[in-house]
Amino acid sequence: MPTLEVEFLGYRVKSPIFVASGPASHDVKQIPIAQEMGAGGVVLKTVVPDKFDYMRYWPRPRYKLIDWDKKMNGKSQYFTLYSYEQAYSGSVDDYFNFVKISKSISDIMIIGSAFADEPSDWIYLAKGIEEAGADAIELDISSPHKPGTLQFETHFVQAIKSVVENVKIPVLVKLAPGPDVLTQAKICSELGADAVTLCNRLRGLEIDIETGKPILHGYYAGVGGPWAKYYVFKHVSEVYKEVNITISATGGVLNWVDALKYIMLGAKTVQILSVIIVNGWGSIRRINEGLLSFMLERQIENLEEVRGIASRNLIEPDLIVRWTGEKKSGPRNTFEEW
Amino acid sequence: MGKYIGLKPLPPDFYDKYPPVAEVVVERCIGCERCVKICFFDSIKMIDKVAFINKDNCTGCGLCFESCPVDAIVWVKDETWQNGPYIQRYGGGSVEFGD
Repeated sequence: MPTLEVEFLGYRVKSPIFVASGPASHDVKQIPIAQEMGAGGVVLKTVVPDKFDYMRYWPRPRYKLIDWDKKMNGKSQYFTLYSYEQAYSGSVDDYFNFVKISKSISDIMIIGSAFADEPSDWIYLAKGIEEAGADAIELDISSPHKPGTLQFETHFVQAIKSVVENVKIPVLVKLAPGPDVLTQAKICSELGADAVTLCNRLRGLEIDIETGKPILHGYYAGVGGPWAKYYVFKHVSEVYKEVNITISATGGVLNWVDALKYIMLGAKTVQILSVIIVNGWGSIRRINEGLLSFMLERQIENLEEVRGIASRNLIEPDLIVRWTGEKKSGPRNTFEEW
Repeated sequence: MGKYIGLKPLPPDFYDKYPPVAEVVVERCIGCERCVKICFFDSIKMIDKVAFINKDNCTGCGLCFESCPVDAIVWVKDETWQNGPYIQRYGGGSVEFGD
């Protein structure tokens, strides 16, 4: 009988499908739902230190599904989730309590998520999350909603180092989709991070041509969706081949096929969110069922059998089979001469 | 193209004075329950086959607008709100934004 169980950062999880940090993981009520639907774990919404208090206040409205055809009832294959919702809305202590309750009412993996800028704040948040009982911590250094640029700034090196030194639970680092994800993943690996999450959403902007204003809150927002998966596929493949680090993939998963592709490219777990927003919590169950039926059909006992297979099949550019573009120089044969 | 389905691209006129919350226009609601499924804040319930939004729970995110096939959801003011809006002041552009 095939199983979806995977070994992830030293834990045995029931499914490789995780709920990504966001609106589907901001409340304790959502944890039992995720568990019931068969998620392997949940990455909780990101917490920020008091210094970034303003990030706990959210604009209204802040979500827009661009190109989403709601009359198709969830069958749109391409859409953009355009949103600006920054951090967990409660205080830091509320968050630690949230982690503690989430852990006590479920037996799935609970991953805390944090963002800060000073190493002391990073350590404070990371230690609190560890003490509250989280199974791991994700350092959200690349959220499209964070202040400042999305570059891998030098102070993050210090931050990752100090968190890794100060907590015993596994540390994941969520990386931006660019530039140079490979180098960032190498640095994370050298600094002792246990895993990387590839990749966060992009920061984008949409405007209204009638008024000439940026839509919704009037500022940049996070953009993602099913179209975003192809560049993450490439990043996952690249990091899987070059860096010895666990990968949790996220970005544009709409169905079990996308999840399986991430696993075939080398990801241990797959985080989903946009699909939960548009198609509901049942998406987790449907993805699990799809993976299981594929495994049953192909007689795959364990996902380890297919993990990384596509990345290993990737060929070097100098081994690509090529043919000449033009058979001979000069004008092409006309149709009559064939 | 260029036409938005669901949520209007700009927030309602009063968004900087009162927090906007969503409300269902009962006559238009067809009872499809899509908004109930999409709400992450436990704000929407079906009462007599019509969606009802609890304004205390509504955080005005806008997702129910996106799910409604008949545009039955509109913005209303939450006049029970006591505090003014929270606006972050960036202090003379000392914070650099952009990618």
